[in-house]
Amino acid sequence: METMTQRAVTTCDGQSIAYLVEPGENPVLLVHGFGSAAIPTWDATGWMKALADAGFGVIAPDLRGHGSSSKPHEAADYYSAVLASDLATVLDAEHLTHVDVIGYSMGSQICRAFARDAPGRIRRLVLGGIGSVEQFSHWGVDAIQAVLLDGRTVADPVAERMLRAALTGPDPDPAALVACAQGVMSDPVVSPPVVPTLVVSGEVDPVAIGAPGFAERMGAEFVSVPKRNHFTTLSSRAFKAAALEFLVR
Amino acid sequence: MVEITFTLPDLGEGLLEAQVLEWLAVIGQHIERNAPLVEVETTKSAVELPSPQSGIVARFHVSEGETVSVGDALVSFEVPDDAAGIVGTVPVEAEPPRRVRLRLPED
Repeated sequence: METMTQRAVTTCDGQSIAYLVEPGENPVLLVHGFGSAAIPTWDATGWMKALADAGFGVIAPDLRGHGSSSKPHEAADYYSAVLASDLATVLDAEHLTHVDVIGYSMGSQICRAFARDAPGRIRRLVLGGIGSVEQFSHWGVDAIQAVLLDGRTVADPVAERMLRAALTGPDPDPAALVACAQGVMSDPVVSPPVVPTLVVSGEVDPVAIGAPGFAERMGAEFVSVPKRNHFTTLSSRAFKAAALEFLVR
Repeated sequence: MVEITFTLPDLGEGLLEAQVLEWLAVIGQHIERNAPLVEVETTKSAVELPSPQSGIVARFHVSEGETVSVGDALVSFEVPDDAAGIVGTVPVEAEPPRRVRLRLPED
C-alpha cells in the first residue's frame, strides 16, 4: 500500500514494538497470530486493502517476539496482559483512545485480554480463528519446545503444522516463540468481552474447534466460513465481508 | 484490443505452486490495477494477489480448487492497444504531465 508507513514505540518495560500505519478516519487495530507478523497476516491476505477501500485506517503492530519488534526470551514478558498493554502503548503513540479491533488466532486471545484490561478503548471487536480450546496448553509445552527448539516431529498433526508454520514467519526467533506460547497460556482470559463482539471461524479449522459454542458463551455474533481451514479463513472474502459489515454498524 | 496473460508469479520462499481458492473478479468485468484479483493458497499460507493490470477480465486459465505452478497462465485481460505495452509485461504508469513555470509571468 503506497501510503503505509512503519513506526515503532518503546514500552514501559523497554521493548520496541513496530507497527504499520495506514492513515484513515476510523483506524482499525489489527492483531496477528503466533509466529506471524503484521505484513503477512494483514497485507498479503488483502485485509489492509479491503479496509482502506472501505474507508478505514489501519494500525497493525508486530507483537513482541515477532517480526520487527523486540524478542525477549522470558515467558513473563509474554503474559496476555503484557501483550495487551503493548496494544495500548501503540494506540497511545498514535493518540487514539477508542478503536475497532480485529484479531486472528493467538491475536484473538490477546484482543480478549485487551478487552478485559481496557474495555473502554474498544468500540467493536472481531475475533477470528479462535474456538473453545486454548491451543498452546492443548498442545503442551513439551510439544512446543520439541518442534520449535529441537526440530522434532510431534504426534498431534495440528500442533505439528501450526508450530512448523510459526517458524516460517518473518525473522523467527524460536526461543522467543516458546516464551510467547508459555506466557500466553499461563495468563488465560476467561471473562467474556463487554464490547460488541463477532467471532469468525473456518468450517474446517481445527484450531477454532468449538467456535459456535465459544461465541455463544461470549455473547458474540458468529459467522462460519464454509470449507476454510486456519490459513484460508484469514484470506477469505467471506471473513472480510463479515467483519466490515459488523464494523460499519 | 490486445490480450495480456498473467502467470502465477514467484511467491517467494521457494514455493513452486499454489491452489486457486477463489476468483475475486468475474469474466467481462473491468478491473483496476491493484484491485483484488485472486486468492491462492500455498503450502505456507493463503494470500490475495492484486491485479497486475487494468483491463477487462477475458479468461480464467484455472478453476477454483485447481493447482498451478509458478509461470503457468492464470488469467487473461483485454486491454486497449495503446495500454498494452510489450505483451507479457506490466506497462509502467505514465507520469502525469507537469508544467514547470521557470519565471513569474510578466505583466
